[in-house]
Amino acid sequence: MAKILAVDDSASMRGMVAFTLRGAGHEVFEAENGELGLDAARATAYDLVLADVNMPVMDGISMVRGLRAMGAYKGVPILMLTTESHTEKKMEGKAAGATGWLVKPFDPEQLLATVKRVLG
Amino acid sequence: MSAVDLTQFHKTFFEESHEGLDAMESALLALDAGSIDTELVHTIFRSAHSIKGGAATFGFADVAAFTHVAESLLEEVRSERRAVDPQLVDMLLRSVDCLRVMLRRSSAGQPVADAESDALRAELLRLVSGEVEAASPPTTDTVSAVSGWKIDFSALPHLLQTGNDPLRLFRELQQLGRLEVVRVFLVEGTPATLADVDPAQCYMGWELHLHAAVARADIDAVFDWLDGDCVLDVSPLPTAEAPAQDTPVQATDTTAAPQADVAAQAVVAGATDTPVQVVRETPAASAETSSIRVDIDKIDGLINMMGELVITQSMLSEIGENFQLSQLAILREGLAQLERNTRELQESVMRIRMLPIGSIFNRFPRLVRDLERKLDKRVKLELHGEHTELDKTVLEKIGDPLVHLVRNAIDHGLESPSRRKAVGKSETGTLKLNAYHEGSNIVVQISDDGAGLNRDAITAKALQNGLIGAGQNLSDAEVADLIFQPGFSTAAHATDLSGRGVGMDVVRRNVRDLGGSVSVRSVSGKGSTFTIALPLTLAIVDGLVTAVGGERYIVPLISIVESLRLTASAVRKVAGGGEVFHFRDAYLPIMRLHRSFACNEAVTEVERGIVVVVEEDGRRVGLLVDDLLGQQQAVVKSLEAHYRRVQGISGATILSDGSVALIVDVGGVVHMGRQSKVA
Repeated sequence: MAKILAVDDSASMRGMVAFTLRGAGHEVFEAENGELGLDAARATAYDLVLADVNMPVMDGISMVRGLRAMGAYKGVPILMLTTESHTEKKMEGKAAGATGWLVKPFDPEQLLATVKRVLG
Repeated sequence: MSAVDLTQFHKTFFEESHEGLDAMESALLALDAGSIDTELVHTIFRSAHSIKGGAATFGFADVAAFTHVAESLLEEVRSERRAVDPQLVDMLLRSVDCLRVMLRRSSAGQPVADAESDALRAELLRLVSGEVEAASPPTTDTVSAVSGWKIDFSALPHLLQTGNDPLRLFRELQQLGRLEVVRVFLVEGTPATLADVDPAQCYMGWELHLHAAVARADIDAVFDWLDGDCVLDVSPLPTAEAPAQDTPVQATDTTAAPQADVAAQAVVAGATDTPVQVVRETPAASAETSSIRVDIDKIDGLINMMGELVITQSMLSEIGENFQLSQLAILREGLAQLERNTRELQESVMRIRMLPIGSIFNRFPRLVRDLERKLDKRVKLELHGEHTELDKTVLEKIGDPLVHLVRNAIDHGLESPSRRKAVGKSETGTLKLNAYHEGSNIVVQISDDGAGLNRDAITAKALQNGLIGAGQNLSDAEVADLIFQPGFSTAAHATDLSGRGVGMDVVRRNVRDLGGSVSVRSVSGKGSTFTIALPLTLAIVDGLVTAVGGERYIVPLISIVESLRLTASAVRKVAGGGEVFHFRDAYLPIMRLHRSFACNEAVTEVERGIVVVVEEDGRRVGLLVDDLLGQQQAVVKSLEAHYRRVQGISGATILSDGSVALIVDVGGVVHMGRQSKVA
């Protein structure tokens, strides 16, 4: 199964995402802000990155930019976890290189369906 | 696999939401001071945003709805469409309060929204310009009568770099119905020679026919992430081509089914405030109080220490296996190392329960702000030593006494601006909170530069309440001590804020319950300083080891006033069989510990034993013991957990020689003394 990096400053969201994905057999690593996410991505090659937009220290959009600047993450799917009220954030995320997004609030089934969509 | 139990994340959600609200509150207060700092605005916004997201995810609909409105307002501030003014900050602070209540209710499984929260939400909503409350229902564009779609899809060169894969799109389209790739072509701008082709770029386009009677929106949903990464043209296929329609229709059905399921679950999750849920939620709420967040550094330190202990242990067992006297020096060294390891390990373990006092101090900027407005005073709050760590239990219980002292300082201590000006002080009073280590204690000081204790008013009141007699000459310390006496604080003194039936005596009792002490130093016209000394931990008590018969009793040092030897003539018998002795202008009862705890072979003549004068709640008694054996730090073990509650005993400990000693509960013993006198 896939190696997934989940980056979100909210421990409960991260927990929910990680628990759901682990339940589906994936290997999940958690990071709580963009900077730590980049560190993790440098250390390990992940198959998929899930990134919250609003985070302290480094937000999700800067992190996506950082990931795309790394050779190893040129074509790796990155999904932004956005809220319905932030259409412009989706576009900003896309401009930074995100593959797509998952709109919060989502439940475990929606998460799995979306992950399945990118990982096949 | 669908049933992921989300309730397991509720506790984390509540914890982080409360933390978020704390961060929001302090950022709002900092904003209030007049600094428009974008980082502060971002912090506030981020907190609200996270709470909203979490609340919606975990099914706390009322919290999500409320936060949504607050967030919209904050979004206007963030995008500089709205200026920050005191009214806005006020309203947002009220929202923080309201959310705290809503979260607490959510975690207790109680109904969340009430008239107050609804009113505040309506108020916020009125402020938010052009906010449309309900999201427009999804456009249910009816499945059109088309039999299929022609899709012209040309990738832009950077498509692959966004992590999107055309193959994924085709797979998804196939799930809608039969997909036919009619044509594959190179897009315009494709390099003419192979050498110029960048393998990371995509130069291809596809003409696809999707034979499925699906809505246009279903196709758009497949391409939703590719806006700006491709050129897409979708048009209905000519109907002439219509193939068998059974399969595609079924396909849409199966994709629709899980969707309905999801919706149904959302409805169930949204109904958390029904009474049925209350029972289920309660255990989770009580579990919340018993968890602690520990800094990873502390745990790493602990593991490190454990490793060293294991090394020492293996070294010692190696020596022990084949011991010769010539190795004595090495053995000693090993034992010294073991001692060091054990001490360090003990310290590290204790540190796990330690939390910075900053979490309590952080309440005060808000409290001070509210009091300033209510009392029409001006206060500058200074916080020092926020990183000083305290035992979690002590920390939880010290909050209320501190709040009381801060209220008192502002209400009674600091003068009104006009009064301050009149006596030549700055109109803004200063209130300082300071926390620091001192020996094995933590000291918390609350000092103000107000008028100081009013000696005349205090003695007058004490006289009136019968705490002192007329004509009694009191030292400054004794006057100061009067305010801690039960029955000192009276209704005449009470304002809206201080003196809600809670007096300084309660503060002192609460602090004493934690094994601490509170005192006040005051200079007329210059201000007062309240000093609370607290033990580092409740798990260790500094005590005096005494002998009574063959037993050892430990008296906590904090309660001891003095130890003395009496002559037989100093003891007087009083009616009812009690004994008293004269001590610093007062007669104190003697409690014979051997009698209280039924010890045999103890010293029974007062002049042969030693009297330890202890104080509890302002009451002093002399405890008669055989001898004093020394001072020791005792690790408190609960008697209740292993045996049962014993009156006059707060716990037990193990002495260095391996014997057990009981720790005297001074309050309990004093109480026993009073009871026996009545009897």
